[in-house]
Amino acid sequence: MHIDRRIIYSAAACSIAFSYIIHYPLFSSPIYSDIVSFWYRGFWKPEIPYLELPFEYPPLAGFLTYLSAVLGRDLVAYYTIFSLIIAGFYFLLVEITVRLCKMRRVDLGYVLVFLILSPSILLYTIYNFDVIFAALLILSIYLLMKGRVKLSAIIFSVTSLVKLVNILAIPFILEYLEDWKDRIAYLLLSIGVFGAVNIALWYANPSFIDETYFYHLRWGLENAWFLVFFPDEKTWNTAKLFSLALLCYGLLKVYARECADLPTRMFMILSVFLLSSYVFTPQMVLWLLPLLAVMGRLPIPYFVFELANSAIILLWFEEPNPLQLGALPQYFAILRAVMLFIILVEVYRGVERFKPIKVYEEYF
Amino acid sequence: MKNIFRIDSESRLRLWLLALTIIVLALKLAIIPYPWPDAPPEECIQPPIEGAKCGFVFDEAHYIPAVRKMLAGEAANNEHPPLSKALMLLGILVFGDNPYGWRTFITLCGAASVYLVGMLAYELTRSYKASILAAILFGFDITSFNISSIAMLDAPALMFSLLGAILYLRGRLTVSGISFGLAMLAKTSAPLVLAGILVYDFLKRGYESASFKEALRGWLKVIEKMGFIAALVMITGLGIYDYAYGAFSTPFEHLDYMLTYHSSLTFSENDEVYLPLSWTNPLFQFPRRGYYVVAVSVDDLKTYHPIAYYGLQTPLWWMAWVVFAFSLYLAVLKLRRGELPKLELFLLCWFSANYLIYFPMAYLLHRWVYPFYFYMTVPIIAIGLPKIMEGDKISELVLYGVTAMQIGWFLEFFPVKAQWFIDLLLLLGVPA
Repeated sequence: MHIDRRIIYSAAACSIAFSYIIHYPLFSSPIYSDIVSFWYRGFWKPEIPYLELPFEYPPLAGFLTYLSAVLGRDLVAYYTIFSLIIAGFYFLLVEITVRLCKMRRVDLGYVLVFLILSPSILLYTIYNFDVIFAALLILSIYLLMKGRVKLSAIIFSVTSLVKLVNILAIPFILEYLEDWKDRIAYLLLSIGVFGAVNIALWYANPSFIDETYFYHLRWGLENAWFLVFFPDEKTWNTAKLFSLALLCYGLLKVYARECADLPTRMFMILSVFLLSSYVFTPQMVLWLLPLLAVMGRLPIPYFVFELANSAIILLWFEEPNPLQLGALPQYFAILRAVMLFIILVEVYRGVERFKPIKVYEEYF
Repeated sequence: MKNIFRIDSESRLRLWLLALTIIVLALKLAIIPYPWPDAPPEECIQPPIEGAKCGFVFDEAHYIPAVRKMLAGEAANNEHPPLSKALMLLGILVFGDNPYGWRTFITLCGAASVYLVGMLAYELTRSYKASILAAILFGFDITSFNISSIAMLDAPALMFSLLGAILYLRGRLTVSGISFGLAMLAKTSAPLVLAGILVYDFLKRGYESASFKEALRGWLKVIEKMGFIAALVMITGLGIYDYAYGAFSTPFEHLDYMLTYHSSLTFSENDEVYLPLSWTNPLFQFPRRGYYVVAVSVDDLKTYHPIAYYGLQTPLWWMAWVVFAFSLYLAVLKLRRGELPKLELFLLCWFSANYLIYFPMAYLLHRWVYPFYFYMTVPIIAIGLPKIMEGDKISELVLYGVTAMQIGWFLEFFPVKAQWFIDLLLLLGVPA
């Protein structure tokens, strides 16, 4: 079957519309969405995030939420504007992924499977900032592969303003760059934009860093597979040390692996993060999907992975304490982790099959 | 006659090390019944425990009551891992609830460590002389002798750590990992030895490999084979204990309990703490600590101590900074020559991980520290000193002098003295 951009975009439009409908807040039983919950946390007033209202997401996330609230003024309008912003980033994500697939001569069917038809996309697009993060991250990778180092670094820095996780990839990107000047420029720019915005907010509100970033250190285990080892909440500080040790080991393994190209490496880095993190919310899976598409592989465990990831939110409110070991969402979280681990091992062991791709201008 | 004493092959070295080990073991076994308890076991389980009446030396007052509870099916002393206590428990089952039961297996571990120190020295130096001297220096280190003759956790931890280190140097990583796992099951400080060796491995690979990535790859394999196996053994052991005694729902929760407990042991300004520098500085020594002392006065004319277990600095401990400084110096020299300073690097890593680590812990984090923690560092000083001093006549004289002092110290402070020996010491005008 020949799949072209028209099919991709038509399907993508339906997909995002579907996501909009299932979370629509005025329906009798909409599926939970973080976006709607933000509204009730103070954005309805609207309070300015970081200055008047503590917000645990980085500044661009807060700004977009505030913008939606200011423009919307009521819940439906806020939700719709927020959805439109997400839709914009979603189409950017699709477009860049299509370009990268073409660049790597990967069938566009993968884009259709991972970015349009996957249950996670349908459930978690109009949900949180993860599509925005994924779109910006994939854009920065794309620009880097095209040789637009400085622009890529700026976009990378903006990505950190949505979710901080991508900073884990900085050493890998610096290694990818061959020229020392490029490395220094990338490092400065990728930290610079993010740093400047954060310093400004810190200056305006000294408790900003604590309320936004350190907040996450105080958060407990959420959908982490190692809840099995640490079922008692009192032991979660040790669980976090365990999580850190796993992360360090996993990242070093990826770093030591030769022959992996940038999207594959990014997939491995993010997978390692998700498997080692003590918080693995289901929407975080969206970070991986464009990379899987670009890598052009459809692992069999992926289907179980998606099933488990969808079940987490669908069963979340069926349990009195969904975070407790023994609750159904936690069983699915463990199943999801097992599947992701299998996929990661498959990718890790199969990286030799992918030749490192740097700049392939001839495809453009 | 000369040939009997000559060590010219590994098998002869082993023979001599074995002989030395047997001597140390015999001395250890001979003193096991001293002190012997006056009170029945059931009076020595719940606090307050009167150490003298119960026959406990030093921290035996914690561990033997805990083992007695374990014998009754009750989880106890969960802040420490269970293997050393399991060895005490086994001893009690075999020899009865008396000092033989408490101390025999610990004593065996302590004596075996003498042999293992010699073998570790040989793996590192390939010098027969240095190896045998290392074993002598360690075997006759009186504080180490005392710590490894009583029912404490340290001797099994060190024995398994030494075994793990030897196996690592021989390239048998998985078995080494198992050994380190058992060490970690014996005492919570054992991971420091493993950490030191992993740092050593990383630095060695960094020097030998063509690229950083290659070094990292090799090192990660060592982590997987040694570190992961050690962790697995430890977790499995804790799991068995927790399941048997119903102590914790998972071994990770037990681990959390131990971590929380040990990080809570901090001192305040008014507490008397013997900080790490006082362990090795001969000028400002920590005061000699009596673990169990019986004093006898005869008509106010003479006083002597038929039983006196002390924790104190020994001549070998004074050489700690000498070994450290020379190792550093020789490492730099070798590096300049383009040579890997294998021995020096190993010494420095072990020294840092097992001794220097207590400096930030004590001085900055105010974590309680005790001089007997130095027991885990003593082997590496015993190995380093002979090798550093070997070859040069004057240095060797100093080395023999230190060894003689070490043995003299051992005799003077030997914990259980026969009456004839006491009389001899008093005759010589030496305190007994």
